[in-house]
Amino acid sequence: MTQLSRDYTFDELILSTLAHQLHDGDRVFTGVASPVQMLATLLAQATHAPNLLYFTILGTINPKPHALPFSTGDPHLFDRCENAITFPEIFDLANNGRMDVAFLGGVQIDQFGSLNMSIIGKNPDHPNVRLPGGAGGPLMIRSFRRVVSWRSNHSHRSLVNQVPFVTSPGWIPAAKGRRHGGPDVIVTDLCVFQFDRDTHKISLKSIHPGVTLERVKAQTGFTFKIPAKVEITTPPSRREIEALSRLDPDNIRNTLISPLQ
Amino acid sequence: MTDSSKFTSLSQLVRQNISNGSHVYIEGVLLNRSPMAAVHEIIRAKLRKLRVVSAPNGLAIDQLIGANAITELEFYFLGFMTQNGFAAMRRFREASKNESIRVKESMGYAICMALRAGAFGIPFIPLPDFRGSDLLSIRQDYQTMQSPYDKADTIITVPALRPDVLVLHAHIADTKGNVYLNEPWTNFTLTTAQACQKVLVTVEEVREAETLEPNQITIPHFLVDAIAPVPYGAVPTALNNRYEIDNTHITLYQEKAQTAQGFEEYLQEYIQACPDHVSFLEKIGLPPPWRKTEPLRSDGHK
Repeated sequence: MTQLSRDYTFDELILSTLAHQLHDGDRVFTGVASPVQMLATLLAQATHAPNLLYFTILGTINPKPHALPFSTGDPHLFDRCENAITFPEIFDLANNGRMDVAFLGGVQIDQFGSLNMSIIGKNPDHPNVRLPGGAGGPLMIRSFRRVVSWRSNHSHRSLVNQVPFVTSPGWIPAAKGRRHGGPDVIVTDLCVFQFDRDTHKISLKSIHPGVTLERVKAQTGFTFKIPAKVEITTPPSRREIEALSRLDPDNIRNTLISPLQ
Repeated sequence: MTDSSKFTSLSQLVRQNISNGSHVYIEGVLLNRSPMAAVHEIIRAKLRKLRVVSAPNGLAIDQLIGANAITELEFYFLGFMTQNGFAAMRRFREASKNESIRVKESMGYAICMALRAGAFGIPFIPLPDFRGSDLLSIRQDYQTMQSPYDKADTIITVPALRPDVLVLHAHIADTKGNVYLNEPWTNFTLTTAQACQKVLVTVEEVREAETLEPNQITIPHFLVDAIAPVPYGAVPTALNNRYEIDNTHITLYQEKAQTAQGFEEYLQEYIQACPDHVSFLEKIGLPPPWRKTEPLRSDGHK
């Protein structure tokens, strides 16, 4: 199990790491079933990014719910919002280059950052397992300036060499020469991967405190570039920890994020 | 003027406007305002072979699939988060595996744009290029082509969606048939209504004509075909400013729906054995009342 100092908890580390991917002034979207990404966005807004503009799947802009809901479709996300638009209008804005960051997930994510949210199995007509569906991912992965992925349960089954079904296409070599996109960052419960802006190759950015490089390699289904000096993920600050307890007074973050066993 | 011809019971709303094989659009987002009373009535009416296109409405769709009401499903996300983690839709997953339903996965924006095309009265609509997604290999109806205006620009076209019926749960109808959905911005619900041939609405309450302000009218009466007053009609999902998500019941459903036999027990006990939504509510109890959030500023201004 990941060893942590008593100053912060594992969920606080993950949430601050996700929040650190967002910049002040960013226009950020979180989608379906994304309470972790929602809390990370609210955290960024409450700390280093006060001018971040936050759009939820319900279309609300800058909601201030009294407590973090489990469901990102909870109508409390209309509470005290600054304004609202509708779901397709978020895509419309992104199509015109007016959105910055989307959080997109994948049941499976590969070395190119392609996301599979559709099926496990080779034949789309006879899937072994039907997954929830890619929501807005196939277009959002290229219409937003940056994409951040959060993947819990870091393993060679979730981080695979090549996804069997590409729901949302990442930096696949076949797409060179045409408009394409992909994640910038993948945060897992062991480490942070990043994609080079020019070569689009995946590399290790940092490993979480207490995690070894050997473990990351053993549990990842693709090879990745390892920098000469591997950074340790920056732990959350006192200010961030305090903000989290304000934003999530019921401490659902502890239920949503557990250290990988 | 009151248009009493639009007002009917839940039973008649479903039975007179939806038939076997109907193409149905079901409104609702995750655990917000799924039209669950109407969904249960569709199941009680034993409607079959429905072609359903849905917003990310996991609970409603999973129950319709489990009850064998659906033959074809077009969707872009099914499932939701609860305190027990991510709830995958088991009846959907199983029906997909044994091929008892035809599954057409799409993308949220593609369905919204197809509804816009339906509302605009045009045969198809272009989307920005999303080549590279395998959705394009499973959706033969989505075409890749050059823009006729700029050869460097690739577009993906999707055919217009014009479902036979829209099923929606809302807050208020006035006696003339105007419908008010009390959420901050609802113009896409109007677009969806314009795309559908018939609009069926269950509402929490009915008010006198001309008590709604024009800017409160989500769907004007001339686009609404049938209205049934069904208090708590979205339970066990939530309705803004009215009631919370009924987590207890949703957890119960999720546990039951893990197996075919468990689902069958749920179906018999909570849907078939309840002649109407009132008896369903008597059985499970009223949902948690809406927890009002205090305004941020002391002057009461939000």
